[in-house]
Amino acid sequence: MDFKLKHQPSYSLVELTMNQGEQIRTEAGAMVYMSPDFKVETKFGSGFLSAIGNKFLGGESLFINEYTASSNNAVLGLATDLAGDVAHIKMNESTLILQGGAFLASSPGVNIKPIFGGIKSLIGKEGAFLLKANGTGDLFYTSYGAIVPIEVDGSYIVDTGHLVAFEENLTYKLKKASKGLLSTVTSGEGFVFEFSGNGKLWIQSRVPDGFISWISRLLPR
Amino acid sequence: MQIDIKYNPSYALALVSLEPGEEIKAEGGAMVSMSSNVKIETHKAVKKQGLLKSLKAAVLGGESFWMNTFSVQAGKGDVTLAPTLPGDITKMAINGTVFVQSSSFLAGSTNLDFDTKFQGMKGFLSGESLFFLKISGDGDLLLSSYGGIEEREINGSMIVDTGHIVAFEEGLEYKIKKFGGWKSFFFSGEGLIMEFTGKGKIWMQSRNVTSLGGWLKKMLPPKKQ
Repeated sequence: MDFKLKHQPSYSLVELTMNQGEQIRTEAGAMVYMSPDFKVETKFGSGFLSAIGNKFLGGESLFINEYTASSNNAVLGLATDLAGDVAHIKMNESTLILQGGAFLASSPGVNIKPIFGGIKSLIGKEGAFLLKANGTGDLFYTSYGAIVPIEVDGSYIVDTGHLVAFEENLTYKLKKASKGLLSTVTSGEGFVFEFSGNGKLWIQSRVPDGFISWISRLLPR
Repeated sequence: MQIDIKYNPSYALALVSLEPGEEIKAEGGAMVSMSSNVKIETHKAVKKQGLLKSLKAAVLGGESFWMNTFSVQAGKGDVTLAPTLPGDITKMAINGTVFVQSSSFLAGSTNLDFDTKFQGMKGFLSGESLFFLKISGDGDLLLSSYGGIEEREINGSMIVDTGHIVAFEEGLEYKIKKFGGWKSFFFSGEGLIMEFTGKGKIWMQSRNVTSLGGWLKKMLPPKKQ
């Protein structure tokens, strides 16, 4: 499978070129265009995005689409609802943790399971479930705004709403951005994740929540 | 202090590298990520200004009442900053005074002085709160815009839609006016304009928040009573 990322970072689109028999699983509704030589099967998330109620908890649809190329050079274009970026990672018996709504597509060798992020992600209000991707193959994930890779060596702080993904060997804890209750409320920064260890993480340059509250203010009540 | 801006113009992010002892102040909520040795201090937007005046700025200007100062004592530290809206970030080195449309302020050197300047009721007619921060001194300033930022040197006069103004240099005079006669004011789609005269720079944004609001209202189904 070959891929091209186009129109980054604002209106990213990924174009896959697949050979006969190759498969890709995508978030429901992600297909923009496709050549006729695909077999498409819509599956309930079980076994793939396995937990019941994943829609509410992980920010993902309960359904996924599985595309199987029935001839060589089959072309499939994928994009997301929000304006933003798409990133690709080649997994090699590795594990990546994704923010609930960040999944776009993956090859069959990559397993995706929701994991409970714990109370810390509840307070972080970005959804209590994170997605854990592990295995070998291609993984595509998305953001609102641009995706920014960051190498962590030691420790690093990320605003909860800006987190997209991180490597499993990083540990994290939730903390207040600034000391004291008053400044937690007044600073406008709220809660942050503090990562430690050695590994890579990805952040997004905007937060959907911020965009939504801004839009809401423009609309008639 | 090293400041790089990436991912512009739609989803710009400012990457700020602080050396020991350096600091930058930013609008509340602007922090995206940072090194863990960076310290945050929360304070009023205009430090020496009374509580009441700060409140006025917050209520009328749509500006955050509080700001955060990021600093490092030992070692280097990175902070990334972004506004809420989709759009660009522009870095400018100022030496003198600029007036910044209050919601366009993202961050600046801590040695810059901040004051507020109320534009009077005229500004409210347009549905945009025309409220400016008066920023003076010698330092770096980061401004955010909805859309891209267009910089223009005025020598003579120039007319700008109030919804598109981001900032202008001191030394430029301006008047807020209707666009044409009353008929144009209501039907031209232009509303209020600022007429600048003199010599100096202005910065404008390529999209207008009020217009987006109007467009969204038209696109939405009518409200059920």
